[in-house]
Amino acid sequence: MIEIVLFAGEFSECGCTNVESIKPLMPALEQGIDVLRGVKKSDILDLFQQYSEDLIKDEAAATIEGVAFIANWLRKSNFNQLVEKNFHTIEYLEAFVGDKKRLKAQPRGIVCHWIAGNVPTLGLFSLFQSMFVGNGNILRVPQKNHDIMRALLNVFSRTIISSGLSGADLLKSVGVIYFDKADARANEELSELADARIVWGGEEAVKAITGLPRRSHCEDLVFGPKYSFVVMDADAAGRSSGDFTRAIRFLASDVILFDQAACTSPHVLFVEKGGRSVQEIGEVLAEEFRKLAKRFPKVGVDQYIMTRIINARAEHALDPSSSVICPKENDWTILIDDKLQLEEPIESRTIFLKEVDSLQDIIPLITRKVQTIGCSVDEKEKLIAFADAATLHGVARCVEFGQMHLYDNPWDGMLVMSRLVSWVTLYYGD
Amino acid sequence: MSELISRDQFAVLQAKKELALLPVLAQQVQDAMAFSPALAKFYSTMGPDPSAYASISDIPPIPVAMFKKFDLKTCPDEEITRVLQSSATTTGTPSRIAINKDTSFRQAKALTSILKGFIGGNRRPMLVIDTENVNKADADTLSARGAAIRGISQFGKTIVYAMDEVDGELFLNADRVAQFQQDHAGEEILVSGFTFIIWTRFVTQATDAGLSLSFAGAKIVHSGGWKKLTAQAVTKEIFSKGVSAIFDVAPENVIDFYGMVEQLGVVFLDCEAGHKHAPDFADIIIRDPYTMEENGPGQSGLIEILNVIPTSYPGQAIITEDIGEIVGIDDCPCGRKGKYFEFRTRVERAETRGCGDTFAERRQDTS
Repeated sequence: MIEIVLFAGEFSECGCTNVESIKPLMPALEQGIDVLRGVKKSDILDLFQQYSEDLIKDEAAATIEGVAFIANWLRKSNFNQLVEKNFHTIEYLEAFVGDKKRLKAQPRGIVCHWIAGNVPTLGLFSLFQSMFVGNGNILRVPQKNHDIMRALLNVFSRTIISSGLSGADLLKSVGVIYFDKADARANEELSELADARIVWGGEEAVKAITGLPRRSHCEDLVFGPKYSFVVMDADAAGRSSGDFTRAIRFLASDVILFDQAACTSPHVLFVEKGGRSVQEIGEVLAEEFRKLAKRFPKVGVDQYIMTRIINARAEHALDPSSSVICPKENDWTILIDDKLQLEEPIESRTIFLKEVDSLQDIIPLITRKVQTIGCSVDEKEKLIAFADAATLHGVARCVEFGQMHLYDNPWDGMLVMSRLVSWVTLYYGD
Repeated sequence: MSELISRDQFAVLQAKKELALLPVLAQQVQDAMAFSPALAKFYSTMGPDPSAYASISDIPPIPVAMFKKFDLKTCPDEEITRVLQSSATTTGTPSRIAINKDTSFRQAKALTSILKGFIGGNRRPMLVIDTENVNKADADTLSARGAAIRGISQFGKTIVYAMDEVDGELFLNADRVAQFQQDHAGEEILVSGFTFIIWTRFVTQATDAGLSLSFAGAKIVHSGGWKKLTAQAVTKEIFSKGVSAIFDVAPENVIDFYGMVEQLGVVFLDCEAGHKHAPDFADIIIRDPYTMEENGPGQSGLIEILNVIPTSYPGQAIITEDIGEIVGIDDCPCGRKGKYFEFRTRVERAETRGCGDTFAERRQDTS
């Protein structure tokens, strides 16, 4: 059974519209795709800009975790940059470009997305890139995020620009659905409809979905399980109090957002010896956590994660070479030890703090599963050398503290929009 | 202390009990801190100085998983007579609990004083639904299954093991059980075993073999393995009905108990009203998993067990990964005093959480 949240522009507000198959609904979606393809890209950019402004103004939407990020991401100036990174110029999306051998980026067709539940706004990043290049989209969104998707897409639906184009027009090319992950029939139906599949999720989900039958031309974009951490060199750790505290404040916000369940969430802070001691850094970080915890109380406490926090705290309190800084309640936790390793993520505001002799000592720990490293490194040459070695070992992003969750292109090494088009050619003389 | 453990249990009102336990437990924590630098570091990091404990809930509980990671002892090695091990079914690593003579003696006394309030004090023929191998007398280590059998076997006059182990699998010895029936027909007997083994091995094989027993006065005491049985949709009611049918006893004579190798000597048996009770020398706290504050009746949370028995390991306050709920205090219809509670479930991992759901990975794993 497939639950319909939105299909071809029609919201199912009560969540009680269920269908055996979405195939009978496809003609309406195809009509919506025709509408989408008739819209000028500049109008879509203007619509995204307006939506960005509307999201921030909307009282209900503005409180959703991660909305500020997506609003910023949808701004025309930012989205234009994404387009330029992917296509050099937007012209390729609208016309054959070049002399004699002319190139155009045509939409692939229908893109089916399996969205993970850890970041409520994840589906929108996936959707808007695919929509912009002219694809129809069907998203399988976890039930727990349906209300958020409805709220965010309702704002989009109401967004309108001076040309008369509205979000409602573009949503005619979109479906948001849900079915149980074990529903083989629904999974196969969605997979077989796809000209491209976008899969966000953990190892198990990725393996299951990529193993589904698909059309031979179908393109797969897999955003699988990833791990992130942060590093601070001796100079950064030895900065003046104000600069140092500011960096730690950014780190604390990177930890707290998305309850540390995102692939971009840091789990370990490695600090190079020579600046402040780990204990001193831990105390500054603790203070920032205290402030943030007051502003953003934990919601949706997961008992399993709480027991993992309880165990990790006790382990570090019992181990003579480790220590722990934490409040009584299982809110934030700083686990200090000297084990040179990446730790299994505990999540929910729990970070390991480790001292290293040199940032280069961290390089051998890096695997292809490490996605983002937050870097607080003062010396540019040192930063470049570290980033070069880290990315050679598989890291996709080296960013500053406070920017770990900024969704960007490339992502996981991919220029996403360019993967969602077919590059086609037209030859003719001058 | 000895008198507190040995006397008839479930007689002290909760407030009075807590007042009595607090100084004893606080002193035991201080002793543990004096003996072990690791424990001193733990208790001082996670809570106030023991002299400042205002209630037993101020004692920082040690998570049960720490007994898998550390050798937690509060007495010299030369005093340790036995190391108990948990079954290691969930993580693959067993808990290791160091026992000295003093603790072992108290555990036996404590178990007797609890059990006699449920099954009577007289010794009687006992059928163990397990293999004799789990309770080898000469073993330095003892599994949780073995330890439970050994504890309850204090009530056994003659002990017969119903199962044989062949290549690591358990098989019913129907002839031996039939002989036990013949020898003790009409007598009050005691049956004990691991819940999961009783259901998946004994009941299925006894049913297949057409084994029909008649022990109207039998008490069947069982524990452990509910996680797997729940996954098979076997409820306590289904279990009791199925087992009572084999032995021809009333379902209420099938008694589930909650306990763990880390707190041997303290078992929580279902009373006639279906509640589990804390004895006078031990207590239960249900903690909110987030705030870690003590929850009142009707609020579920993590089960913590406090007890004054151990002198060889820090078992004064151990927090489990089980979820339970205090049902009431001092007013159970069965007449027992103190807190009474229900075990709900083990804490389970929620569904996988998406693209951040990964583990740190050693470099050589990815080549």
